[in-house]
Amino acid sequence: MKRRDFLQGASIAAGTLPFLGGETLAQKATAAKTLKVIHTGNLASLDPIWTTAPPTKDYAYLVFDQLFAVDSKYVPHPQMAEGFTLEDDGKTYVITLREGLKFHDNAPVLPADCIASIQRWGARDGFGQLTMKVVDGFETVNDRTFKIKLKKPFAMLPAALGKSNSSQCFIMPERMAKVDPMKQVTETIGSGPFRFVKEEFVSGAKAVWAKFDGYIPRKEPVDSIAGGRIPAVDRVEWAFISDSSTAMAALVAGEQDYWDAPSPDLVPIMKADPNIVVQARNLTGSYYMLQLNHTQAPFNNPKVRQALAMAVDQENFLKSAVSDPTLMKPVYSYYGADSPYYTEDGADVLKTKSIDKAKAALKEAGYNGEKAVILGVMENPISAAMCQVTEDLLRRIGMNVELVAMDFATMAQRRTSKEPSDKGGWSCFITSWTGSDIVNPAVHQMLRAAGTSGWFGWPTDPEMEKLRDQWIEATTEADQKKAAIALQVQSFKTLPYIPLGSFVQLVAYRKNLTGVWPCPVQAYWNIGKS
Amino acid sequence: MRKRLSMWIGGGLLVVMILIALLAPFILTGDPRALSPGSRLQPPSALHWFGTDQLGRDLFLRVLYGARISLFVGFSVALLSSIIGTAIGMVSAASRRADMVVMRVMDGVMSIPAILLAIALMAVTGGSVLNVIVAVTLVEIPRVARLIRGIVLSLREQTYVEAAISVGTPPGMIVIRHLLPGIVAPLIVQATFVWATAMILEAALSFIGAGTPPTIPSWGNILADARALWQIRPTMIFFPAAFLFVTLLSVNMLGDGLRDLLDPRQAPEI
Amino acid sequence: MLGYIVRRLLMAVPVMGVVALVVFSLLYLTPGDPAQVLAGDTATPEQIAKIRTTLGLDQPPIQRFGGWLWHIVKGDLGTSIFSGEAVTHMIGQRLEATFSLLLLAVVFSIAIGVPFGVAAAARRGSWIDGALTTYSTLGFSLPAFIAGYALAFLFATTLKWLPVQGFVPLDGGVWPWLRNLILPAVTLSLVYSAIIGRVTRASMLEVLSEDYIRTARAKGVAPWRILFRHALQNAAVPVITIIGIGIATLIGSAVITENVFAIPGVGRLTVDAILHRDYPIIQGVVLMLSAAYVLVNVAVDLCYTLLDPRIRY
Repeated sequence: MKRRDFLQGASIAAGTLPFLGGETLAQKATAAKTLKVIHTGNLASLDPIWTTAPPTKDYAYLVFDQLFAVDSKYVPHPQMAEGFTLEDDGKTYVITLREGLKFHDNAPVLPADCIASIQRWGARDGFGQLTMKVVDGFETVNDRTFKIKLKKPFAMLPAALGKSNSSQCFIMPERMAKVDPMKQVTETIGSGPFRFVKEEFVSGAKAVWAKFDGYIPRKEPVDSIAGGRIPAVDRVEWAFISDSSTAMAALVAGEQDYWDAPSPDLVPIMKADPNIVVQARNLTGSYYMLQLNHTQAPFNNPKVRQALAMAVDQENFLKSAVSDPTLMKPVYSYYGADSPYYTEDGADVLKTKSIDKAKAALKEAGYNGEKAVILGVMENPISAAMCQVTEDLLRRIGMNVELVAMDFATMAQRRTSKEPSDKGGWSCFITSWTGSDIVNPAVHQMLRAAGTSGWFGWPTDPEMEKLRDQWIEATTEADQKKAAIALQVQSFKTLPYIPLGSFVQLVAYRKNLTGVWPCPVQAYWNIGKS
Repeated sequence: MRKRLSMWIGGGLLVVMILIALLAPFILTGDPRALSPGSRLQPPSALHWFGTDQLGRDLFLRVLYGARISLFVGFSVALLSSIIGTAIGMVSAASRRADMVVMRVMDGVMSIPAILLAIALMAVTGGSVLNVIVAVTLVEIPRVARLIRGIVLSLREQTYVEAAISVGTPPGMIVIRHLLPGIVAPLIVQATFVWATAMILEAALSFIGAGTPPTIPSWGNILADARALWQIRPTMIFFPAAFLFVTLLSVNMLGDGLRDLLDPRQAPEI
Repeated sequence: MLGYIVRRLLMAVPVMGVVALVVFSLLYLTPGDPAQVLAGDTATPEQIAKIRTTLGLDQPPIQRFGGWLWHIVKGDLGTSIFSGEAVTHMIGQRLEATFSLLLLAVVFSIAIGVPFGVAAAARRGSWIDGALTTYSTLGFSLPAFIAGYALAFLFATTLKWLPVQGFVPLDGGVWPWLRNLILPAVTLSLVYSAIIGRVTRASMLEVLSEDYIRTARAKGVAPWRILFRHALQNAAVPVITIIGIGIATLIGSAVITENVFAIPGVGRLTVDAILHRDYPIIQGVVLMLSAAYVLVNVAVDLCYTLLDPRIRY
C-alpha cells in the first residue's frame, strides 16, 4: 500500500467514525420506554423482610404494595386499603381492600395474604414487633375485608403498616408470607406496579422489571410513598456499576438515565452538564453510623466503647468523604437533625474529640489487644473513606485492628455472625440510614437494646428498652419528648452505635426524565421518559 | 547498537527506581499512610508535589513508597521462581521418571491463565504482600522450570558434557562446571521478564481488590482508589500509572537488551 | 486424521486432570477448614456439616478428589455461597459476553500483529521494524487496566465515538454488539498483537533466509506474492502456536478489562466473587477457562495439519 492510499483510507475511516455514536430510530423508540437505572449496590436478596439492605428495599417498592403509606409529613394514607373504620372503642380496625387488587400471577389479593404478611413483618421489624405486642388477633370478614383486634387502642397502627423506611410491611401472597421470617423467600410475586423478570436477572450485573398491566394505581397525586403508584415506563432496568467514574460516564453519555447514589466528588462535573439534573431526592438526609458489636470483644466492654467515642471527631469522618462543606453536617444526637426530638443532651462524650483522652480511657478499660475487625464496604466511596478513617483512628488509640475489604452484600451477610472477630465475626461496620429512619423511637431500629433479637450489634440495656416503652405509652407530647430525650441520654452511655454525622443525599438523572419527586426511598414508579 | 543503547537506558532507569525505593524512608519526611481529611483531593502543589488522594494522603509519598512494594514483589518473585524453577527444571532433566510427573504438573499449572491462578490463590489465603509474592511465584515457577529443562537437555547432548559424564565426573561437578554456565545467561533474561510480569500481576491483583490490603500504598491500590476519581483529579491516576509504566518499560528494555547480548536465539517463555 | 483428533484430545485429559488437582488442592492450602471456606463466612454449623459430607472430608484425600472430580464430570460445579445459585448457571449467563470479547480481541490482534510482523521482517532494520520493536515494548509495559482507562477517556468520554461501558448480546443486533466491544477488545489486543507481531517477524525472518525463497526471488516472482504466499504460509506454524499460547494472557487481561468497561462477563463474576469470598465460583471459573484454553490449543495443533503440508500424522 502506498502512503497516499493509506492516508486516504485513514481519512475515510476518520470521517465515518463520528457516525459510530449515532443510534437508529428504531433503537431510540424502544429505549424510550425503558428506565435505565445505575444501581450502586448489588441486589443480593429478594426478601425485604429478611434484610434491610437498600437494594432489596428498592426492589420491593417496585414489586410489592402496602396496605397504607405515609406522606412526606409521616401521615399515613390508605394505599391498598380503600379505607378503615374503628370499632370497639378503637380496639378493632376494620380494613377494606380496594377492588381489583391482584398479584402478578393474577390471583386476587385476599385478607389471608395481608394477615400472613403482617405477621411475618411483625416478627422481624422493630415497629412491627411493637405492633404485634398490641395485636390480639386477626379475623377475615369477607374477600375484601378483615379485622385487626387489639389489646388496647393503638393509634399508630396505620403509620406502622405504612412506614416508608427500614423494613416495611409489604404484602406478599400467603404462601410466601408463611415462609419462616428468619429464612429468605425465593418467589418474586407481589401486587405492585412492576413485576420482576427473573429470567433476565443476572446477579451482580443487571435486574429487570416489566410493567404489571393488572395494577390499578390510586387516583391521588403522589406524595412521598403515598398516592398513586403509576408505572410510567414499560421496563425498569438496573445495571450494577460499582465503579463510579464508569457510572458517571454512562450517565453523561446517555447510556443510562438515573443514578441512585452519585459519588459526591463527581457532582461538580455532572452539575456542569446541561443534560443532567443533580438534586436531593431524600430531603431528610443520610446519617452515617459506626455500628458496634456488643456481643464480642473488644466492644462488648462498655468502657472500650466509651473510649472509642471520645476519639471520634465527626468532622474528620465527614470531611474524609466529601469536599463540599455545604453537603455535610455534624449531628451530636441519636435523632435526625429535623426530628422533633433533636437535642445534644448527653452527647458530651462525642464532643471530647481527643486521641489522648481516648488512649487513657482505653487503658483504664482494661483493653488487652483483642482484635477489632472492621467490615469495610469499599464499593461506596463515602463508606470506603469512613472505614479507612475508622481503621486509622482505632490504630492511633492503640487498638489491634484489621480492615477487611468487601462489598455491601457480603457485609450484609457477614454482619449476621455472632462469632468472635477471629472466627468469621466482626467488631464494627459503617452503615447509613436516612433521616426518616431515625425520626422517632418507633421507627429507629438501632436505638434498641433488646439483645440478640435486635438489629446487628445486639446491644443489651433494659434501661433503654424501658425508656422506649415510656415514649410509646406517653399520652402527651411533652411526656413523649421527655422520654425520647432520656432515651438518648441513656444511649450515649450504652452506645449502641456511634453517630458520625449527616450528608445531603443526592441523585443524578438525565433531563428527559419526568416525574421525579421528593421521596425518602428510591421508588421508580411515576418516573417517565420524554 | 540500538539494542545496546536501550539496555543502558532501561538499566539506568531501573537503577533510579531501585534507589528511590531503597532510599524513600531516608530522603522523605512524612507518613504515606497519614490521613488528613481536611485536605483531600488537592491538585499538585509545592506542599504536595503529586497532590493528595481522597483521604488527604500525600500522593508523592504514596507513589514513591509504592515503588518499594512493586519492586520488592517483582524482585522477590524473580529470585524465588528462578531458584525453585531451576531446581525443578534440573531434576526433571536428570531423571526420566521425575520428568514425566513434573512436566505434566507444569503443563497443567501453565494451562491455568496466570492471573486466574493468582486470584484463586489470593482468594484462599487473603490479602497481604507476602501472599501476593507466594501466589505470583507459584504462577511463574513452571515457566522457568520448562526453560531450564530444555536448556539442560540440549546441553547434555553436547560432546564435552557427554565426555565428562563418561569419565565419571561427579554429578555435582558437572552441574557446577558445565551446566550452570550455560544456564545463567538465559536464566537472567527470563528473570527480567518474570520481574516485569510479577509487577503487572501485583498491580492487577491490587487493582481488582485481591492483592495487598487497601491501606498499603502499592501502585495497584493507588490506581484502584483513583479509578473512581480520575475525571476530577487525572493526576491521581497519572502519577502511579506513569511510574508503573516507566518501571515496566525499563525492565522490558533491559530484558530485551540482555537477550540480544547474551542469548540472541532465545524467545521468552510466555 | 480422525484418529489423530481423538489421540490429541486424549492427551489433553491428563493436563486437565492436573488443572483439576491444582484447583482442588488450593482449597487445602488454607489455614482453616475447607468446608468453612466453601460455605462462606456466615454459614451455619449445619451448612458446614453438609458441605463436609459432600466433600467427604473424613475420607482419604485420593477418594475425596475422586468424588469431587465425579461431581465436576457430571457438570456440577457446586453452589455459589453468595447467591445460592448453581455455579454452572451463573457462569453460563456470562459466557456470551466473555467469549464475544475474546473472539473480537483475537481477530483484532491477528489483523494488527501479522501484517505488522510481516512488514517488519520484509523491511528488516527499517523504520517499520523499529516501530514494531517500540510498539511491542510499549505494549508489554502497559497494563490492560491503564490502557483501558486511557482508551475510554479518549474515545468514549472525550470524542464520544463509542460507548463507555456495557454489553449488548448479539441478538440485540450486530452493530450494538460490536460497538460496545470495540474499546475493550482493542485494550486486550495491545499486548496480544505485540506478541503476535514479534513472533511473526522472527518466524518470517527465518523463512525468508531459506533457499526456496531466494530461488523464487531469482525467478522474478512478485515480492508481495513471495511474502504472503510462500513465506507466510511456511512461517505460520510458530505464529499459530503463539496465538494459541497467548490466549492464556488474553483470558487474564479479559478478567481485568471486563471490570474497567463494566461488561457482565466471567471476569466480573470472578472479581465480585473475590469480594464475596465466594470460593466455589472462583474454582468453577478457573476450571472452565483453563479447559477452554486447553481446547483452543488442541484446535491449534489440529490447524497445523491443515496449514503445513509437511506435517502429517
